[in-house]
Amino acid sequence: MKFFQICFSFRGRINRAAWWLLNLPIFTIFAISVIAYDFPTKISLGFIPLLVLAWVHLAVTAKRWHDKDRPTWWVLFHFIPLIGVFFLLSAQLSSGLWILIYLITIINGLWTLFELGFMKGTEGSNQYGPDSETSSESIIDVYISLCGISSIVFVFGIFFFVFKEGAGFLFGGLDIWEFLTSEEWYPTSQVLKENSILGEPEINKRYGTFALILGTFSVTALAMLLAVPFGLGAAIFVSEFCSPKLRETFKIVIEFLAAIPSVVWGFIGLTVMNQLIIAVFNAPIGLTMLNGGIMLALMSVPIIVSIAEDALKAVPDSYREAAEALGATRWQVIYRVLLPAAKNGLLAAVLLGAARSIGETMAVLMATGHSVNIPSGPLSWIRTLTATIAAELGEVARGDEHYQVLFIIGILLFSITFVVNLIADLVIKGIRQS
Amino acid sequence: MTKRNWISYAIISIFVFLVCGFVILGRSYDKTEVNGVDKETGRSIIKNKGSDTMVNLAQAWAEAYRGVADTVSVEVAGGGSGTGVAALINGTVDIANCSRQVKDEEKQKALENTGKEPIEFIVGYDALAVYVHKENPLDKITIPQLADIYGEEGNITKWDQLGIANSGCKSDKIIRISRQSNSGTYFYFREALFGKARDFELGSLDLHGSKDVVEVIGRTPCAIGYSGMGYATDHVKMLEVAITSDEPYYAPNLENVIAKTYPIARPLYMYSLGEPTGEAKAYLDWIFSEEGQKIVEELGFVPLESK
Repeated sequence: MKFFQICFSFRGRINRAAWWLLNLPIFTIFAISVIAYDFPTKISLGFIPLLVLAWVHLAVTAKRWHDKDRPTWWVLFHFIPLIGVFFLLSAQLSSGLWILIYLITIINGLWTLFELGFMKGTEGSNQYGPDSETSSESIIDVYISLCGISSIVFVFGIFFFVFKEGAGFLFGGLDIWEFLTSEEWYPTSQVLKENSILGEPEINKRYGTFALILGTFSVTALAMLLAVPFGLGAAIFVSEFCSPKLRETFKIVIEFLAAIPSVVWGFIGLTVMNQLIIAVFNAPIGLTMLNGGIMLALMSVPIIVSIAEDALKAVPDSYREAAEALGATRWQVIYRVLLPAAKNGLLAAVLLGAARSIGETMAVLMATGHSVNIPSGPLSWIRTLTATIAAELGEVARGDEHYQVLFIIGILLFSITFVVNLIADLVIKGIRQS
Repeated sequence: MTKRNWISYAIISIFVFLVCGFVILGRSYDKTEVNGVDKETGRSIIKNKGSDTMVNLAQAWAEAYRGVADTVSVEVAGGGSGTGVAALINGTVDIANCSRQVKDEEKQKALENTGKEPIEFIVGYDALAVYVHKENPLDKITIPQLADIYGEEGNITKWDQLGIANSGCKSDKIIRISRQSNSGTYFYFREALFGKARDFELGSLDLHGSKDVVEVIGRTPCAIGYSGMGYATDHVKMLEVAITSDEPYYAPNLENVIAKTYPIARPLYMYSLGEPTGEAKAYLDWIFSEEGQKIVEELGFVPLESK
């Protein structure tokens, strides 16, 4: 059976496993929408996907009844609870009738669940199709393709939402050149423009993100400068030099580093690192790019280590043995054989670490000083794009210009990540071809 | 059309019909709440939302009010002044908390949306203290000096320009600590320093939260910053503030704020949609009572003048 047939058609048979696989997510989504959105007391656009899911549920249920050689109309048992609710809403009933409806609903629910979810279908083929237990492969196909499709749907859904919120101002009013090249970030200014034309006084709000873009890139670059040598070095050590016992301990410790929440890193930056940097560098304040860079490096090292270590482990032992047989020293084996053989994986490790740094919000918000400032060195205080969204979105009026600008920053971040990923893809392709 | 097909179409149309009817009926029916009354407990609900500065205060009021009127429960949520105003505009709260005044265009929006105008109540005061590190020798400061430190094209950037030798700060540079540009505290401090005439100079450290400001200043000898009076710790010092150098200096404390001599104190607002009625009115009346105002003082804010 094909995807559409399984999900939407009322013909054919399916087995218990398929019924559960398709229905569990549907039940979950319905439960969430009842709890979180007060469905069905509110009608909105979100209602349409729920109708589609209800259709899928009915179609699958009909096929399950067929599997037990029951006619399609047995699906109507599903409507008994709805009729009960209908009475509840429209008429005052005596308590005896009430209990009766209650009992019927519960018994009906338990019975259908038992029949559909736990009872085998008829053996061999029946009037609706061949035995379902023997043709269960295709449902797994459907399920896996659903998982794949859903990730694409989510990415596009998120992009659509972000774009929708920002689009109005992006195409109607925002000076994109100023947005990208001006360092003046005054989203809530109340000062009147000096040269405002007679009539409507114009308020001098300025949305320039140049300093924020520089901030994001500089702190990420600094973090990578610190994290890449340590991360790759640690990965080589763990994969090539450690005894198995030490390796396990190391991996657990490094993974523990990844489990620390970013707000904790931010707090360490705000308190401990702040004073340390003041003391060591004689800086006026320790909330600087250096502070944020160190925090980001500490957060991305675990990612770099674990991915790079996997890449090194994936190099076949025969490479190492061949090199050693030729008389190469350990260092030569690593430098001349392992690193070139694993370079795709190592590059992926570095890029994922960088992506972690660009996307990080809470730690940089707290540790870098969060100051609109063109960075002039590791000891200057800066502000990143992500931290700006995090700090300001909470108190902004919905639909406001400022609100839309924050979403346009989101679009900007999207484009930056897209370009980084594209470059990474091209680089890896280039490496493969040469 | 085969028989089997016919049955499935019939089922689908019954389904669609039932769901539509169900939804239309359901719209008039709310699970837990009817006309602001909780169905299960029979309590009236007052929804209260807004300013993060005021959220602890609002919660303390709500808790104490339980003992006063046990047929009423007050649901408090934070999220910032902007969130409270947005909820007011959408008509989803009974009372919104706000550490800044609601703007005219927001009032207009609320009127258009709900047909009622937000009514303003001042329920207490919050004094913004100017903080420095505890080892900073500076004791007092004037508003024009603050404006020259924080404002655009201001010309005070070193501590010795204030006439002191800040020995803990080797670079002598004044590090300006501020708040993110749309917090109520930021709005109020900007208004207090230069009205609508000037903006802050960029390059201040815009921290996220009143507590962080005091935390950072307590660890940084070069820093100056502003935050609520109630956030003071042992590591920081509050400066006395004067309107100009000719006027007397006043410390941020209860007496000075009540006497309205301390220059950077702001009112804390509550807004209702239209004149409050019923339980919401009773709640607001209680907040203005002696009992309600005592809670204001307990939480480090300044109560209204005792009548």
